[in-house]
Amino acid sequence: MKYQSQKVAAYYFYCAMALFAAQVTFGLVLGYIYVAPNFLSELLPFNIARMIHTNALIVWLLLGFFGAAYYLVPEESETELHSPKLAILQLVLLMVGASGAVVGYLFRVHEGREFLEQPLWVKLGIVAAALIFLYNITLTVLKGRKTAITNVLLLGLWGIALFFLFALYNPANLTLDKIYWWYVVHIWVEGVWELVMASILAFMMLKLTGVDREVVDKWLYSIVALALFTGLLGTGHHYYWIGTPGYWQWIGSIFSALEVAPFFAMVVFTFVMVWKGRREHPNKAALLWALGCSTLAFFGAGVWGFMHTLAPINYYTHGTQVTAAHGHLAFYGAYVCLNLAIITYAMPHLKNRAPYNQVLNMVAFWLMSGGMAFMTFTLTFAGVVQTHLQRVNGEYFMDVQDQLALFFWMRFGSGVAVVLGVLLFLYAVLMPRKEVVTPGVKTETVPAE
Amino acid sequence: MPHGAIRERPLLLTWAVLMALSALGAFGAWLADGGTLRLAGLGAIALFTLFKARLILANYLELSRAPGWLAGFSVAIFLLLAMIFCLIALVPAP
Amino acid sequence: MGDGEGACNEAVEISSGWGPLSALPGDAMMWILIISELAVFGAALAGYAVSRALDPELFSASQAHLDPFSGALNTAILLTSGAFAAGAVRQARAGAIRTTRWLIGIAFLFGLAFLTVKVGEYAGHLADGYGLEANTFFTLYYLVTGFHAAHVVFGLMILALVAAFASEENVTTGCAFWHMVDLVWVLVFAVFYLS
Ligand code: HEM
Ligand code: HEM
Ligand SMILES: [Fe+2]
Repeated sequence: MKYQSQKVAAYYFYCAMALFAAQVTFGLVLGYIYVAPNFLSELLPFNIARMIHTNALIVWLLLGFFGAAYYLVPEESETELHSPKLAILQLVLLMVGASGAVVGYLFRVHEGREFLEQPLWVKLGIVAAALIFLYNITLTVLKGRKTAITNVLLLGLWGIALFFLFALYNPANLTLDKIYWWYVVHIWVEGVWELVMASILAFMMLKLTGVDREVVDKWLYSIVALALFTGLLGTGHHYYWIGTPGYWQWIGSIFSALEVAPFFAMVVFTFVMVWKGRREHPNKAALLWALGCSTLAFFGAGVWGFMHTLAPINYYTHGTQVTAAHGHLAFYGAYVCLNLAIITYAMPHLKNRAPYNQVLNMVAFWLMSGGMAFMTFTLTFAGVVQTHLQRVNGEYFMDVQDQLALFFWMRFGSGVAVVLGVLLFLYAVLMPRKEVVTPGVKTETVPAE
Repeated sequence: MPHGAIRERPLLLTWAVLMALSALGAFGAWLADGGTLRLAGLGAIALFTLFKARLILANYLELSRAPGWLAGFSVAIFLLLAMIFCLIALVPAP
Repeated sequence: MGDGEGACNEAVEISSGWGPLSALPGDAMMWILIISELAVFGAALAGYAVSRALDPELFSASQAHLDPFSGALNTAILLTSGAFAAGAVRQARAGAIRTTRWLIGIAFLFGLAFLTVKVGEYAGHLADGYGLEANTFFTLYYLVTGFHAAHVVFGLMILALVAAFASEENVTTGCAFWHMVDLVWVLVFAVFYLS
């Protein structure tokens, strides 16, 4: 840790990890409700638990991004944060909003759009927190050194705030409602979040591999260009069957098919950097998470996304378990792994220690990733069977669900593995030990698929 | 001129050949419009289009200086045209 | 590479940091855009071919409404514009800024002519009652040629910009975009108008 104010990142990471634990726990509850539908049906109905699962996911990922920004911007800009106090205020605001939302959900206070169920006052709180954040981080960047990494990160973070504003607009017309809903949901994960992902990965490659900044910058700009070129009009892949004109089937299919490109470029980027790099960084676990991030994002977002993105295919698979399979691996690979990578990298610095609990952390990676991969496979099989029975043969939704029970049991089982992996990760990161992997020991870095 | 580069042609010549190929393409279209020479016409359109694309790449975009890239773009465009024109040839309009 | 210890062992190969992209004329970012654009138009044209194979009757009936002469005229206009733009790049390299600007200006006027013809065509189709959602053929026709025309408009803005800031690098980069617009039109013309 080179700058004192980077310390605030640690608080963001702690809160993020707490919410992460809650998120997967609620996931497990959901997975159990799927196989035992009466479980907690009075106390915690499925839709409420689902809101908590998905909202906790989004909030902790955002907290992780904020933490990452507070960690890496001072280091890149070579200056202290504009105001650590404001950063703390922002965190408090976000945590109050998040807990308020959860308590509200438990008492059935919520709005109706998936992922954006927060009551208005929470949404406004989020906007206020975002403004504080942007003010704080932009002033820091402006007063210090400007690098490609901070430029792209800033662009991504401003984009996140800007597109969130569409969450406040909810037209009565259902088609328009959906159009704007996707401005937040899609343009976040397949647009501006990708910029955050690329810049954090670039920062980590710079630190972990020692490749020249000049080379990293070129990759970063290329990835960003590809992400925006394909991702913005790629929104069309959600406009096939919501009452929009038919030409969206062409726009959506063509541009979203090309969305694979930035994810592929990130895989090539990370592996080429590691291969060319001349630094043997002691934090092997962080490197593993970073490589796992680009690889699993490529599979989850790129391959699993492409699988159902062409209109003639989506006509059959729309809203089936195929979507859930893709949603899980994409979010996990791209953004969960990204956050765990930067947390694994930054925590030892924030605590002023040598990288610790490396082996445990890497075991957590394989357990969590293996669990998510298995969950993705079971849901994909479930989705294909469901598509056939329901969309081709025309059987009833609930009859089909009954026939998928075996898959849902397996999903529950893989969920248990994921939760254990999460607990192991938290232990490895939060409980420092003296044990260190000696540099030079080659570890397996390619996640098997 | 870099090693292995393709000779860059004068612009006026490039332009004249492009115009001629466009005219020949129109002739191909006339042939392709039904009749016995339909396939020949389609082949001619595809071939002239490929030539035009290559001339633009080599002389307008100056890829004659980057022969590897020129070859890459040419192959991609060849494959695209081959796919499209094979489909058109295989499924004639009634 | 990469396993060495010297701090400057990569300096030669990747001096610009762009790797193989540095062999291309102009800014490498422009080439990333050019390749992406070609991928988009390529995918759209391939989609056209598949849709046509699924419904050849509809496609040939609709295609009969296009005027091959307008298409050919626009091809000639755009390729001529491209020749002037290519000339501008050579003049810029020779340091002749005034000539460069004149040539870009002429290329620009031809670009405007292209748009005029295109708008005339659209007006004709609309008057005949063939709009964006008339059928699959017209949807594709409007999407592909409309997207291309949008690039002509954007290309004209770029040409104006690089005429104003006429460094060799700028002119090369801006004209590369303009040539991409040429190249795409040649393919679009062959597929939509000729076959
Ligand atoms: C880090 C890990 C996880 C991530 C990133 C994640 C992400 C998500 C997302 C994005 C959704 C919404 C999906 C959609 O709208 O299609 C969702 C729903 C769900 N998740 Fe997770 N989740 C994770 C862990 C788990 C775990 C461990 C389980 C336990 C089995 C689980 C079970 C579920 C269930 C049952 C749903 C509801 C699906 C439905 O409505 O049909 N998730 N999760
Ligand atoms: C990291 C990036 C990505 C994330 C986190 C992600 C996540 C998700 C989630 C959660 C959904 C379900 C939304 C809902 O509740 O309805 C979804 C839907 C979808 N995603 Fe992605 N996605 C990503 C990238 C991609 C990419 C690159 C593609 C295409 C190549 C893609 C194609 C799709 C499609 C077609 C749907 C709609 C599925 C349906 O019709 O039910 N996604 N995505
Ligand atoms: Fe999407």
